[in-house]
Amino acid sequence: MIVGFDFGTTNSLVSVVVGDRVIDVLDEEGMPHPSVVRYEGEEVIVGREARHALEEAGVGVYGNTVKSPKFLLGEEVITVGGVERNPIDIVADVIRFVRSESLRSAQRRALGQLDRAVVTIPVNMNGPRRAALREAFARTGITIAQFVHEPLAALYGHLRGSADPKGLTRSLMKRDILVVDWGGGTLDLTLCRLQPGRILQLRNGGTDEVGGDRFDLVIRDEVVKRFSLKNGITDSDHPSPEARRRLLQDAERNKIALSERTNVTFYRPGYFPESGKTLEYSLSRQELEEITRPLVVGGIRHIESLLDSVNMSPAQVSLCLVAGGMAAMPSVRGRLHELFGPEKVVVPSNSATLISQGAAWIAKDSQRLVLAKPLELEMARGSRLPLLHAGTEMPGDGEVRNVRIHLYCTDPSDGVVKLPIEAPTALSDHPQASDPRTNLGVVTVQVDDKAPPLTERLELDVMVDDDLILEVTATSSQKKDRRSAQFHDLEFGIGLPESSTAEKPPPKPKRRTPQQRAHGVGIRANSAVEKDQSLVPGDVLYKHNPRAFARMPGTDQATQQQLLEHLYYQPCAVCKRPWGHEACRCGSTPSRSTGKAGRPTRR
Amino acid sequence: MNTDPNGAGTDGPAGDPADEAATVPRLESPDASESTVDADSAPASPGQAEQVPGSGEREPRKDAARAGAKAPTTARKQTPARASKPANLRELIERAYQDPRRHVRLPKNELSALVVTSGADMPGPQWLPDLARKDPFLRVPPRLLATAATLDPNHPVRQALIDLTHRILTIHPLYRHYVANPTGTDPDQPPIASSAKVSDAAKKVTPETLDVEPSDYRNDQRGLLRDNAVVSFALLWVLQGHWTIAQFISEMTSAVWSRPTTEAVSSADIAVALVTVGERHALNHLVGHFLVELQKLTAQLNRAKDETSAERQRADRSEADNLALREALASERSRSESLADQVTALTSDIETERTNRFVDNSHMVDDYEILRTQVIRRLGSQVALLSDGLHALRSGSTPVAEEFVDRALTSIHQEVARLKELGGTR
Repeated sequence: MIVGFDFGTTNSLVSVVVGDRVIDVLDEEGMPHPSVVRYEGEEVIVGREARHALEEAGVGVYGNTVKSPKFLLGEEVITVGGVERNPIDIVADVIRFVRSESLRSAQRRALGQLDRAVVTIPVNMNGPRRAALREAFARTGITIAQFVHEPLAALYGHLRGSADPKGLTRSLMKRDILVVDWGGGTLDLTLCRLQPGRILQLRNGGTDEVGGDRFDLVIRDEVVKRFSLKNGITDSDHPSPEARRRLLQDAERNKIALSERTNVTFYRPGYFPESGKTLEYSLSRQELEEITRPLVVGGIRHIESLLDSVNMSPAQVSLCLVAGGMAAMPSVRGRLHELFGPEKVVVPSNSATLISQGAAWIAKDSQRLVLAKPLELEMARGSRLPLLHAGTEMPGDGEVRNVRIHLYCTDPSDGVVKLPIEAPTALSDHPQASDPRTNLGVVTVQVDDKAPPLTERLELDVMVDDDLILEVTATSSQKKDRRSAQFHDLEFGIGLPESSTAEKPPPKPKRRTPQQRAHGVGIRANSAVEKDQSLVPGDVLYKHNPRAFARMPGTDQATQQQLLEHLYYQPCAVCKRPWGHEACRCGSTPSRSTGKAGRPTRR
Repeated sequence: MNTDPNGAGTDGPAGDPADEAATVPRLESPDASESTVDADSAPASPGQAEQVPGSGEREPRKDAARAGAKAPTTARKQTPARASKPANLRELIERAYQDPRRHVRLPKNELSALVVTSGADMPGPQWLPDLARKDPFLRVPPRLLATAATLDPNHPVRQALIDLTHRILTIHPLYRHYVANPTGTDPDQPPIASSAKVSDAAKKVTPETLDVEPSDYRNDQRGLLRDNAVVSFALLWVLQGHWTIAQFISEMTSAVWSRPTTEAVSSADIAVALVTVGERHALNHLVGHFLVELQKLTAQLNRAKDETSAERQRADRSEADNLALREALASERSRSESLADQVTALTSDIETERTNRFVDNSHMVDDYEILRTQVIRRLGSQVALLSDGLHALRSGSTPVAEEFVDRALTSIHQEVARLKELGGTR
């Protein structure tokens, strides 16, 4: 039995599919277990009890309490209540608690041994953190069958758990879907497209600046601030931590209550101990929206930014699926309605557990992640070499997928080979050269700068591990340099619960305007898979093979572009000014750079 | 018993002396006491001396039949010149070998008076091989054995003659080369089981082993040697008491008499030969033997028929039973398969049912847990709200208390309505 495990920033829970229905294993109050752990001496307190004692929102360490320890993964050691602890152990404490509580629950028979799980992760979780999370799970006796991005799991759970998965899939075929996972700790976004047989991620995004906990904190602080102003409470009249904690819980409760009422009252007797005043403040829905607007706007801005990054307008989104606890907040729903239209915004009744449910369905259906887009290496002259094709199945637990590619350096003059790793911005199994690309990063490796072009060999090892991390390692044969880079921001796809052949034409993507093209300086990729002299920059070629520039016909003659590149670095043969100098009237300006025969005249 | 083994008849070209013996009855009354032996007599009646295997030049069967028919006349024309009487067995045997084609006949009293204990009669006399070599086709041994048969079984002359004949046989290349234990006297060797082996051994004899010219060893001589060898062997076995007469007839029938003839013989010849054969007792005995054998065979045949019929009936019954069992087996097998299918289906149903029950149980537990935890959560939150409202009421903040009570009541109403709705959907 493989379960779905949502180890969330704020809450964690286990879900499992039994028959045709998914079962969420929750705590005594029917809520997910808070991802909070408190250390009191030797005692480890996890979950709701630990969270009740917490008066602060956000993530991190608060005294002897750690909230959202997932974000601490990747660090060597942290200090909690004066004790140095390994974040993996802290995370393992939370996972262990969730596991043991789940195995004590009334639904425990459906869980089996609870020793294998599909685990959801935020889209921006990097490689070392994923590896640490896998280690934490292993320490509790749970092996991870597969990681899956939280929003992707939510979408799969929404499609799979619907009353008519086939019909829903058909209606969304070749449409773009935005999944907004707005939880207590983070806002995770995934833009997906349904294609025949699979769901593909177009672009991922997210932030931890607008999580639901921050809303509670802002509301509490603003209520206290307004009440203090109105009643002349001084800053020195500082409430007790217990009072602050209870007021934070009131904020959480009242923000939900304002979805049904126009006014709610914050009432906390003796909140101000110095003056003995009771905090009593009536908060209207309008005030709530005003207070939380910066956060809501911040979240919406991330959504718009994500759409903009793929040249997509909100109108092109066919469905906005909202998961996470913040979906219950009216202002959030309202802004999403404004952005996409009410008919496109769907807030499932199970939005709080949708991610875990999606993971459980993925486990039940034994779905494997695949690469949504091809990964490419940009080479000299703008050509691109596919490293991994779209649809490449991601390795399972303990597996690795790797590829080795042999390259040559076309321009070793600066002693560095630049290897840009890219992915097409849009989804396409066969991207064209003119299609826009998203640069994932650049791997550089040192080479012998004295070597002629296309002489020193390079080995490029491309590896994807079970943590869904892409690692690119370049090695130069002569210089013996070896450099690696890891990329975790990849887009994935997953098989559809029900494939559909009824397709609708996809909306036309918004064309990128020239102003939207990459700004700033760029790099000139200088690698090639073949020993082709035409790939060598003209100035470099001239140093090593001047005969290629002689006025004699031959097969190894420099190309027109190489001739231009060579002449660019030569002073004007007439006026001795550099290329493009304003005073030069001899033909170095772009409009006069070539002569009658089409060859440059600067010599 | 017919003491004249040469009653086996003439060995014609077809080499079938047995047939000849059977077809040439003697007209005289067969009386052993009047088996007068004339040491230098001409060939006796065709059914006797002259007709035994190896009795001189072969004569056509018709001649034999004619000769048989004239036997009484010929017997009366015996040569009057009589040679001196042999005094001992050596002389008798030498007389026999002087002309192997002629039968030496002595009166019984003279035969009984022959000296047996002569040194020449002792085992391993040197003269015996010299004599035996003169008779490559074994003409003499049957005659000697026939002569011995005329004496009483315990008579010393008879026994000595049999022993000497036995030695003569062991000297012959046929027995020496092809039969390991020719006379069955070697206790270390298994005795010859049948005359068929002797017959087979005779077929393999070559002129070189007989020390004769190939031109003197043609088909006639081959047949002669084979028949004489078989007859000698058979007579020796009977005289030594190894065989009963029934065994003798059986062996002779299989080895000699049953051999097919290649010469056309008319029915008249056969009839004449049968009525003129000298030893009627032998013929009677032979016929009696075969009648008894025929009766036995008939009885066996009848028994076999009965048994066959019974077996057939049993086979029919078994077949019927088999068929019925087959059908029953097929039926049972079909039923077994049907039951196995039912078991499989039921097992599958049980498994499905078990899974369904597990699923239903899990779903019911989940439903219950959802309901239970939701009620706890709702009531818990209302308790906190009402507690704050009570505190507000006591503190004089009536509007706050009213709001909290209102919110709590609203929430409780919603929960009650939801629970009622859940009940209505059952």
